[in-house]
Amino acid sequence: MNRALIRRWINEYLDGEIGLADKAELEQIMAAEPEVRREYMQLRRAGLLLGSMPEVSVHPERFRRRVLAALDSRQRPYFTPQRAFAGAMLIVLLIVSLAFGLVLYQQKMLGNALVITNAAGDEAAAASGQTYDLLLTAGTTPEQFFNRLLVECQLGMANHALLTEFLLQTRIYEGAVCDRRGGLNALQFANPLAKAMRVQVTPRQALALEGIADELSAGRSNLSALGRDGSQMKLQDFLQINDAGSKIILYINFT
Amino acid sequence: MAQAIMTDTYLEYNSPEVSELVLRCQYGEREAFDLLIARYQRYVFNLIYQHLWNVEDIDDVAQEVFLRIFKFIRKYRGNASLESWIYKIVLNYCRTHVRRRSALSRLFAPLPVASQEDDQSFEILDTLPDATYDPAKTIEQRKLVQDILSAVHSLPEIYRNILIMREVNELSYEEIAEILGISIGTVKSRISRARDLVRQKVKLD
Repeated sequence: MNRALIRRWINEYLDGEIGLADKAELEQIMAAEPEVRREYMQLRRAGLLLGSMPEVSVHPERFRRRVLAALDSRQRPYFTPQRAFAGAMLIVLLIVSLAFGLVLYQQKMLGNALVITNAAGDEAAAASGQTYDLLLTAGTTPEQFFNRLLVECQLGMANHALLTEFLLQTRIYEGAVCDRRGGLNALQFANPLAKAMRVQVTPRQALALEGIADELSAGRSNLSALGRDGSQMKLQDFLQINDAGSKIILYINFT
Repeated sequence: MAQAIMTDTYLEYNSPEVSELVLRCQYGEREAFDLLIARYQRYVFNLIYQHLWNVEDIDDVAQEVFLRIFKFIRKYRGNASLESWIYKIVLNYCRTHVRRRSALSRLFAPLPVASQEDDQSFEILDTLPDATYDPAKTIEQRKLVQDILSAVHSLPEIYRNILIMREVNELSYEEIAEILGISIGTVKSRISRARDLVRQKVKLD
């Protein structure tokens, strides 16, 4: 008998898939040949033992909860309202941080000038009386002073930008008439000029103005740093802590 | 109408109850998913245990299997029973899991596995007779079962899977052929070969 055929029959017999005729013939062979029967018994035993391998018992609720939680987390859309809100908050925080950083940077770059000198835009500091302005006691009339300023600018002795500042801020030269015989006082102003004046200039320009006033008044002019709260600071200190190019308020008192 | 036609298709291999459950899952009903887990979790855990044997993370593997079931349930067309379809998913994922695990073990030294018995969703139940009945015989039988399991799990995958499907889960040749996508003739020859290999490895007299 073909060995391969017998083995096939044994397997089909074990699996209950053998035909009736083949089954009868195999049973006759097993009865006659102990080796075939032994092989069948070994395979049957192996199958039975393998079928008795341990089983797994599952906790009825724990696993279900776990899978459903995992399912929920995977199905959740990426852009949820919570995530959108968190993203918006992050952007706002970023913008605020940038703005704050920019302010800090500006303050660092400008030093204390903004705080102390009442520069443009620092109204709150000015109101609190913490700031210092410059006060120029000119010791001369405004007419003499502005005539001299114009001449020095024409001669190139003073910065032309200084004249422009006065033109723009005070308009005192509007309507003035020039008399060619007037010499250093060639300008005739349309109206009497105010005895006190407030202009925004740089410390460097204030010093230049002080120079003009000093010359006109033969050394009687005075430039000083004056706090809004009445306190005074030495001019030298003021100039040390203020950038020469930053804007300050200059009060000029004429005679 | 469409639902009735689909249910009819599923009825060829499934009970009316299972057919309806499948349809509800395909419509994305969460309650139906819950029922499906409840109904098949033991089945899935046992398949994983049988095919991966000493695996420590059955929970994780089973979870991934169910997530795949939910992901692909819309593709189930009723060409086989739901159990066969799930069996196919389990086998595919077990293969992926083994591949990943061996790839990771090549890259990293194995980490000590923390005891997570409190979090485990399962328990291994010994089905062998109580030792008090006949201690000597039971010990001998346990050893034999261990030898056979070791022999089966040392077989090449194509023989191991088919032997477990036949001897442990008692699937028919047709069901095995459908799940593995092979012919019935191949199923028969592989089972025969697998049995012979185990017989050679284990002393069964």
